[in-house]
Amino acid sequence: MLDPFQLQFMQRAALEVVLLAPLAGLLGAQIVLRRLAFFTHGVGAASFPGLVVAGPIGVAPPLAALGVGLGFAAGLERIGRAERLARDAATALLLVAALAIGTVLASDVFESGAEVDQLLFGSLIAIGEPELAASAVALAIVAAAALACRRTWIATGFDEGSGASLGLRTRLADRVLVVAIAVAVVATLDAVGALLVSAILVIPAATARLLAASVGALELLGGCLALVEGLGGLWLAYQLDTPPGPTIATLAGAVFALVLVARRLGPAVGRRVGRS
Amino acid sequence: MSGEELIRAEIREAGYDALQPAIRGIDLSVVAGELVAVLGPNGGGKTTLFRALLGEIPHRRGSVRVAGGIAYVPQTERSRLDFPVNALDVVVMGTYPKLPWYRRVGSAERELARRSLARVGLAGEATTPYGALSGGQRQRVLIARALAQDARILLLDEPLSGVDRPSTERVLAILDDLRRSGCAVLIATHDIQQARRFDSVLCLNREQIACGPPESALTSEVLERTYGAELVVLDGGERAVVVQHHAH
Repeated sequence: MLDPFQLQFMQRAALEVVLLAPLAGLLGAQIVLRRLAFFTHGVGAASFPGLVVAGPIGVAPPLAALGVGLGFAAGLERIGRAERLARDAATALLLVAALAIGTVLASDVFESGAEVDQLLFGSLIAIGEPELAASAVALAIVAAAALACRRTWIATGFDEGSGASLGLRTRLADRVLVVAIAVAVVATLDAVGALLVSAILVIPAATARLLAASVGALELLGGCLALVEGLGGLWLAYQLDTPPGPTIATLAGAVFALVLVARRLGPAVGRRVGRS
Repeated sequence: MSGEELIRAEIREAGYDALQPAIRGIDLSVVAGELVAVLGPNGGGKTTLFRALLGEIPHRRGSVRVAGGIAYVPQTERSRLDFPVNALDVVVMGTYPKLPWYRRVGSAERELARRSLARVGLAGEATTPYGALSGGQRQRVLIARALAQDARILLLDEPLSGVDRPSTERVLAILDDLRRSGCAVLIATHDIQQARRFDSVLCLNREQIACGPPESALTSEVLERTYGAELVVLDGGERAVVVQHHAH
């Protein structure tokens, strides 16, 4: 059953999943609790034009994706504040613009159509050592951000107006969270592509949210689900000869649906975990 | 009252927009052990005054001096009922200001939080999810969070609004306990009858209308200036109630 993981490319893919799972646990919890799922999806989609132009203009793809992702976040904040546009509407606006620009650039300007699928849906089995190193760096950055800001993220998420009176630097922590999400998104691009970032950063945490009664339990369960769904999806993709990114996303969605149904049908399953 | 002045505020104007100050003409002195009702209509500037005292208002002209820590207790509606935290988790947040960023919450912080919960009569609800508590219990949990901050000044934003009578009595008993321990407490309210129970009343409607003991501050003229058309005087001036007008 574990034979596929004897292959070197599968081992690298599995290692990538192992590196991404803690990101999904630490940040996924904040993304779900702070209602940033659509924003995270938007940052992922926004990275698409950055990835398209990175090669032709000679910039490392992760840097280009990070630059565009941060630009997306800054633009979103500016539009939302200056024009009094609802945040989700501004996200949708910029997301569509990013996808449209990326598609035009890929098909008509740089003529890199053959790679578009890979940019949008990732290629976990093509992961190399540079991508693994980039994911390890991203994990270190996000872990440091969480160490410094996790308390403020939780207090602000619970009660947005009281953070400052609790002596917390809420604005700074919010900005760190946005940067951490952008870094995590860039780390997941090679695995699941610009369009399926949520499969790792949102869906496992959203599933865990149905069961977890504490933030710590949510982080732990979200990370474990991302790990199991990532490895399980990778194995399924190998067995079924399907692309790994979409397979992981489908599996994660199926697990979410199962937990949701189980919670409604069985009170014992629905009883929340995380408290002794 | 011990007489030690904990708040001295002379705010000429303050607000979020420099061109449109939300409050003006505040002259306030609060001493240790004093309970002050900040009375005014919705939109009259009560929360803005609190934010100004906390130093969170971007545009403020005048001076504010506070002695000792200052803690803010928001309205319970501003907190998330679906957030995965229990009562103790919320109170532990009050220990964050004194906890270095690199240190984890430990047994000392949890013990302080438990003591704070016990002070508001909720020792037995430590592990109850915050969202499963009643409105009055949630209000007491937020007060306990302020107590865990070890602050000498507490600003309570409408703590008795939408709270049932037993919980109201519990909250008022907690306020008396705070008074005895030498804290200064400011309570935003639009309930005139409640305001009469406190040591002082600051009447506020975008500007300070009056400030002093209830018997001298709560005159019908002051109340009319504070509430305008929302005020209904009953029993030949003995009682006054506020009728809230809502625009639809």
